[in-house]
Amino acid sequence: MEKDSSLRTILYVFLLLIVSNVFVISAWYLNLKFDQLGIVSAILMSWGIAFCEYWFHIPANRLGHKGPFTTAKLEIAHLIVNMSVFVVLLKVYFNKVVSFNEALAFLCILGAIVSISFDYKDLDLEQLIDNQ
Amino acid sequence: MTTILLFVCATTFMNIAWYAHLKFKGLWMPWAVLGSWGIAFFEYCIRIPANRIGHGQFTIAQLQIAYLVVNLFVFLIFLKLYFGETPSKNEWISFLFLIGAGYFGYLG
Repeated sequence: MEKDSSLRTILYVFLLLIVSNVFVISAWYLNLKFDQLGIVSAILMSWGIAFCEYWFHIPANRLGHKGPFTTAKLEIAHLIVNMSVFVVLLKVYFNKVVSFNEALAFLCILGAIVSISFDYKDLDLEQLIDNQ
Repeated sequence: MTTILLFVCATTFMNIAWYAHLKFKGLWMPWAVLGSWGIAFFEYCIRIPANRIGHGQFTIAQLQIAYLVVNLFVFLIFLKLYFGETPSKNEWISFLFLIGAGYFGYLG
C-alpha cells in the first residue's frame, strides 16, 4: 500500500516537472524566434511564460519533498526532464536536431549528474537550512 | 565569454528563486510561487540578453549545454560552501564529465 502511494507521488512529480520544464524551455528560447522583438518586450514575454512555470515547479518540489525525494534527487529529476524536454522542443520550435557532438555533451552532463548523485542522494537542503 | 558570465549571474538568481522558499515552510503556497517568480524577474533580465548575445555565435543546443554546465558548477560550489570539504572521488569524476560536456558542446 505504501509502495503504491510513493509510486504515485513519483509519477505526479515527474508529470509536474515535465509541464514546468515545457514552460522553462519556452521562456528561455522561444524569444530567439522573434528577434525583431525589442529586448524589453522579450524579457517581459519570457518572464510572463515563467509565471506558468512556477505554478508547477514549486508544487512539484513540495510534493516530492513530502514523498520519497530529497532535494538532491529533485534537482537530478529536474535536470534529466529539462534535457529531454529541450531536445523535443528544439525540434518542435526550431525544427532542429541536436548534432552528434551536442548529443555527446548532453551524455557527459548526464554522467556528471549520475556520478555526483552517489554522494548527494540523501542531501536535503531543507535540513541544511534548518541547521544553519 | 560575456554569455557565460551572464549565465553565472542568471543561474545564481535562479537557484535562489527555486530554493529560498524552502526556508519559509509555513508560507502559503501561492505566496511562495509569487515570491519565487518575483526573484526570477532578475534572472530573466540577465538571461534573455545573454541568450540573444550568444545566439549569434552559438547554436541553441550549445546555449543549453553552457547553461547546464554553469548550473552544475554553481550547485557544486554552493555545496562546497556549505560543507567545506575537499571534493570526493565522485565529484572529481563529475568535474571531468562537465569538462567533457563543455568540450563537445564547444565542437558543436
